[in-house]
Amino acid sequence: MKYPRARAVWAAAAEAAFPEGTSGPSHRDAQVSERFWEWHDALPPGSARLIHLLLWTIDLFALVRTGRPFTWLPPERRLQLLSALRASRFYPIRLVGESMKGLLTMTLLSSPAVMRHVGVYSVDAHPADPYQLPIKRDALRVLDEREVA
Amino acid sequence: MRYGFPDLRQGFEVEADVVIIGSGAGGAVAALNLAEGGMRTVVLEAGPELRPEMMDKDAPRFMARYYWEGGLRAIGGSAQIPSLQGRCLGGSTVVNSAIMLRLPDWVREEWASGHHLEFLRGPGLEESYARIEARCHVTPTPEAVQGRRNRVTRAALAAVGMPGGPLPRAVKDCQGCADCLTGCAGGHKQSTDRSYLPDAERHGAQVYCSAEVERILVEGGRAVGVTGRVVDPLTKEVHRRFTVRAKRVVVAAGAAHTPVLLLESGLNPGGLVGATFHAHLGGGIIGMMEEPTDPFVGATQGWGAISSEIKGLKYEGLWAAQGLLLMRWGGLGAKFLERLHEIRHTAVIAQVYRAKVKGSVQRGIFGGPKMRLQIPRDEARVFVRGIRTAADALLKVGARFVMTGIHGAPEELRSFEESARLLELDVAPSHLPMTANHIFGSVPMSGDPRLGPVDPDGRLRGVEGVWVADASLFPSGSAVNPQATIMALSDLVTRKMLHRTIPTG
Repeated sequence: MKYPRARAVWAAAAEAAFPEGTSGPSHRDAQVSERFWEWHDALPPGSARLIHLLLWTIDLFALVRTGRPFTWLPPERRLQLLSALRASRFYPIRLVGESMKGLLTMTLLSSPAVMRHVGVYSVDAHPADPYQLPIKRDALRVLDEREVA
Repeated sequence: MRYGFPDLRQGFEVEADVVIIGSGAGGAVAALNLAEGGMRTVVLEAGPELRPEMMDKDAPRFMARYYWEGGLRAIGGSAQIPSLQGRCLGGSTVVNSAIMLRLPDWVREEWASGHHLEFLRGPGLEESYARIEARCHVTPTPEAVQGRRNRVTRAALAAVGMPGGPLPRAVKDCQGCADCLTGCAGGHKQSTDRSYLPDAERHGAQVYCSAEVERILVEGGRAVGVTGRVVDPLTKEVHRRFTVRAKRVVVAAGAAHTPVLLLESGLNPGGLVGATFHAHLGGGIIGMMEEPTDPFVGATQGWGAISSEIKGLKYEGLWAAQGLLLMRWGGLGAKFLERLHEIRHTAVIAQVYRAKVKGSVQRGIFGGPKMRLQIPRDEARVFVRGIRTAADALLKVGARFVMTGIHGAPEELRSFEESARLLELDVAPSHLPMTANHIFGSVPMSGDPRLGPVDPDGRLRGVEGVWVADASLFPSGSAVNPQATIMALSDLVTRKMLHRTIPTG
């Protein structure tokens, strides 16, 4: 398997960010790791390098801040660390946190499990829809019948 | 005739009267005009052809394949600002919301007087707009596909005194799928791969996809063609080289790539290529409504209004694949997962601001464009004023709370008092959740050679046989979505190539 360290960091972040045991789909339900690396493999090489740099930075930040690699930390501590990155007053650190949050959320929200959970549907058939979303052709008309405040 | 990667993996050499670099808003219009005018025309597009069956709903994967830098392109400078541009046949016209607005009179006058572009005062530009609008079926977004999300935007903007109107878009029989940013699988959007290139091909144009131009070939002070490499659209692996011999080169690679290509080719009249760069700063304000809005249906951007408070600022309703649009939404952890169902209640107002920013484009270390923008703090404050108005608008129509994404502000604003406090923040550009998808002005057109490297006929100064026909030409931001004006300027430039006169009125 390619990039074992980067994969471990991503999986650890996904586990902390989208834990099991809530009313929403977890990282496992949403296949956050598998889908992320599929996406990564579709990126041009320069952009893929940026992703590796980001994951390496997360690992390094954990090491500097806690003395342990990111993957060695318990999930709650990993989540705290990701939140601390996002809240930093120092822009480059905050950028790392926001980028990680963005990638995690992007991967989660675009998963079929989350689409089903949210109730996403389409108004027209899509020839290449891998998600097989429900089609509600009259949805716009029905929605228009309700008043907006 | 159209060639894709499988046809070209061994490289190719062809001759033509004119070679056009780029197949987006500028390149496609140029292709039709020049092919129709009898020129042997070759169009080179770096990205692949994107057919409806390839437009899948997995938005991240789609972007990785069909956007430049896999959708991770960012403008540096005072903040890292994401900037999305399509990398496929038809360019960004395939992956934008197809909004077609004419240049506001005040911008037109600013360009005409500030850059000695007299032709902008005549009827020629209006005639070009009319031709383009007719071909692209530009019509106001119909009421039937607005959907509840756009209707919330309409009510919200009206509540703060900006009634606005349905946005005119290049779409025929829109179904309201809200999938514009991942391509119109139903084939309703009139992107240039549908509205222009097929007719250009019928007039003999040859279109080569997956052909990335690296240099314009110049001999004895005049262009003689271009050279580049064939790139695998999936693996991005570089295959064989290609050369197109032509005495006329039209550069329409977009405001990011056009200056880099010219610089790589040693073409930099007056040192002005890439020395300027402008962008519209975009941002989204998310309102959480009491009632479901089902935001994932209804026209992507169906309703918009020009700000009555801030010159050059425009509001629009917006949706995109939730994985892209809501990347920054909420936090992480169990609480975030428990709130996912709220997505059905969201309404998003996007603001697009023509900031007074200074920027530049250079070649980056990996060969691509390196764009920089320095956004002054006072412009960041104007941006926040715009956000505050949008937040108030959503609160006025009953949003339970509003999310702005501004660093240092409360995550959720629940009252007008809280939104008013946004104005007290000491904001820097890096505090703001901005995007900049409208980019321009990196090779501006000007009657004064000290202000722009391109003359009013679209010709690059200092070399024979090179024209520019994309958003690089804009002297500054257009204040509205740029597609219609890119197409109109390309129309004027290429008609002049054929007929030697630009209508001046």
